[in-house]
Amino acid sequence: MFESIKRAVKRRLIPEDDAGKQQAEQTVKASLQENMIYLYGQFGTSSDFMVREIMIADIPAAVITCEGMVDKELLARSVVEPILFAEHMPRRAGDQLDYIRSQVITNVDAKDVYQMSQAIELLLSGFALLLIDGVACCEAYGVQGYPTRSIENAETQAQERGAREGFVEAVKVNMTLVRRRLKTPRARFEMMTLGNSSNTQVCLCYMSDRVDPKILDHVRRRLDRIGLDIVMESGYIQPFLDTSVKSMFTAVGVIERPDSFCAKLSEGKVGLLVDGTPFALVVPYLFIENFHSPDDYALRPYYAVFLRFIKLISFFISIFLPGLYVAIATFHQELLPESVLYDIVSTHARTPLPIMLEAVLIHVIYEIMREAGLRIPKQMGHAVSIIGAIVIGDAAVSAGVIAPPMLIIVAISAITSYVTPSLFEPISILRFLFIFAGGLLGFYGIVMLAMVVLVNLCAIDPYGIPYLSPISPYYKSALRDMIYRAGWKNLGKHKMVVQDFGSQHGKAVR
Amino acid sequence: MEGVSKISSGQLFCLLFVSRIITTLMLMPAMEHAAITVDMLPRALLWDTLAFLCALPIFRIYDRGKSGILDYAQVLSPAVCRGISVFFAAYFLFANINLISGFEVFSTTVVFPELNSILFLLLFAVVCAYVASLGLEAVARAASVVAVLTVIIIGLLLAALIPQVRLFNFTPFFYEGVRTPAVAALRSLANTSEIAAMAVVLPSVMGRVKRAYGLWMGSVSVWIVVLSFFAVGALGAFASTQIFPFYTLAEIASAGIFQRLDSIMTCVWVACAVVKSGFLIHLSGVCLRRAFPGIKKNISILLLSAATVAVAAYISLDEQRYVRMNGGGLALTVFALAVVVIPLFLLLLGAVRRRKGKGEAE
Repeated sequence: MFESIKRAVKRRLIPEDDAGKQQAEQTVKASLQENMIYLYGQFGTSSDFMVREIMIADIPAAVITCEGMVDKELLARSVVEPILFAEHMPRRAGDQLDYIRSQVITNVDAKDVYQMSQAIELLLSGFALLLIDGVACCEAYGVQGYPTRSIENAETQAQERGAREGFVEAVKVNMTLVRRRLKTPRARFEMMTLGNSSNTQVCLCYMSDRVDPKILDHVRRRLDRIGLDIVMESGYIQPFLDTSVKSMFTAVGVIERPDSFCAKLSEGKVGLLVDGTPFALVVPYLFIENFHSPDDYALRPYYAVFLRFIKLISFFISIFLPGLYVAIATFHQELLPESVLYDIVSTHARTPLPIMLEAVLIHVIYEIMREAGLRIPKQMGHAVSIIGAIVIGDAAVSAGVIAPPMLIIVAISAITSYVTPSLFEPISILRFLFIFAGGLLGFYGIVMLAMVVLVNLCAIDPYGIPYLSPISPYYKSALRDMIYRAGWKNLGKHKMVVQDFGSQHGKAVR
Repeated sequence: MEGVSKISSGQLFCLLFVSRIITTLMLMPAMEHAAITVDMLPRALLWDTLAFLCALPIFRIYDRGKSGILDYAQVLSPAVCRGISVFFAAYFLFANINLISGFEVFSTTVVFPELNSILFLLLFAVVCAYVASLGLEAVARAASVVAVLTVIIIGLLLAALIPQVRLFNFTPFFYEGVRTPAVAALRSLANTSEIAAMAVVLPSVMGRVKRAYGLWMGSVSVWIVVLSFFAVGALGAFASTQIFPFYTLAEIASAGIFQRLDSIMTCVWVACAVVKSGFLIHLSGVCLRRAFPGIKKNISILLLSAATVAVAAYISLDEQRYVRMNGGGLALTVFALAVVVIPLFLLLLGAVRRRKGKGEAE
């Protein structure tokens, strides 16, 4: 029946939709042929647009799917076969659909769809559409069966203790992972679609009894203002949710673990699950949270505190150490003890480059190697290690191109930067900036730059919550779970939500 | 999501404290015409008393509807408010120029003698302009962090100096007479731009403002006394021969294998100076925009920073200009106008208006 329509499409007698203009107005028509003309017009000659023509009690109908997006066995077993072999199927088209709805299809999700745009969206999300001639309604069945990755451990947020589950690319699976951990009706999920072409599903998650309605509303408004064409990753949305202050530090948390995600929701934050990526977003995200990990709460408090201090110290070492070394070696040698001073001066005297350039050079090489190690196929990964160890670690030092103390500094700085992976981006850039500041102006330059960074951090105010809370502004009761972590007997006494940090200081949020 | 700009009383305290720290650290006996002696204690007490008295009119204005000096002036007379706003903008600019000039003297004489002073001024002004552009809340929060770090660092420095304190360096009180510390206290008061800053910033402060101010006065006095104790005890008469005696303290401090901790003191100075300068530029900008509402925030900050650099560069070319700016009655006159005369004038104007209003009602 639809072969003539297909041929007409191939011969371009049926115009393809331009930029989806028609989608907004088109409703599902009673005529099956009109609906099919419209759909063929939308999909053109796309080979994954599959149409199966059936007859339901002598009335033409069509089951439309997107190749590869549906579970064919489920479709056949739960939709097509029951419809075709249904007993007592009414003769009238409208009654047929009612009968199918209530008596025939019972074990898959079913939705009534009246707009073609919605029908297409569902079709492309893995639903199967049933169109019956004479019925101005389309029935969509949830028979998704597209390939997904199985649930694995989160790669970027490893932890010693806790669940071995990480988010996956399918948003529905991620929603399930969250629902399993928050078995309360107050955990809410709101679906929306972003991306004019990609129509990516995004799920807004929050706990209704804890979230600040103003923050939630603000997030919704920001999401509504996103006018992107495609959304392939949560990083596409992140800038739209981030602070308006230009900063290297982001006020949007990126989380790969469902347990962390649920913990953030329980603090009154708003979470976003994006289809197609295992990285969920959480707002608002405070600076101090970069030094937290979920297994802090599973370990004994004294050890958790120790780990947090280690992370904090590592952060400062990774940023400041190269710059401080350059500043001291260039301008402030008097700070060094005599024995160390002689060794450092003598080794650097043999190298051709000034200390600052040496530091920049070795850090650039390190960044190149790190990026190469990330992109290179695993089979060739060992070559990067050999080049790094032999060429840079040994040959460059033996040849006198770089000094051994500088290598030690770079190595320590590199290792410490991995302790807080969420801050890796700003650390990488700030390290260079502090090297330049220290090499050009000594401690003076380093402190000036540090003040710029500090005030920049102080200016960040995501959704009315100061980024450096509870350190500045000082919020005493929150300190029990910031750098210091109180035991659960104490933590469990009073529920703390993130908007307390803003309201305590009387911010009139607009 | 923008919030209405508000700071807590604790943040106000930190802002004023950091601002006062840098002024104290940059104390130059040659400029003060007063040696660093045990008379710093009575001097601090006198300063306390004068600062308390000077703040009374400002708090009287504040008690009338939690308003600052500019808001009160606006209610009384927009024209008067405009004039006062221009004056305060100039006053904070003057204080900033004073700060930056002194800091330039410090940097180019003690820390980096080879450093080009114009380059220093430009860099410093750029950083402070950026700090000011981020707003009062950002500056106040940064001040909180800097205040804590400063107290810790200087506390450790002073602890390292304990072995070097010699009691025989301490002379009796008023060894050189009463007049010298009294005049020095007045000079110190003249450089106290924090009182005028508080007058402008008060509407943006939540919490117990008076308590914060009282704590600030007390802590500043304690701070001055402690620093002076170590300066006198460790340096003795040598302190008065130094351009920056409190910086010299760091030079002679040692901790284990580490000697000459002046680099660490430099870090504290820079951090405090950046906060204070940013604060002053912000206040000056607020006053300027109050007087001329059409000016955009970033433009006003840019203009003020440029003016600061230009004037400070001019002053740095000849040290006598710096002496004239700080010495004499200029600083005291300007201070008296800002903190005493103008608030009293406004209170008087307000009283007259209220009486007129009552008379008309009757």
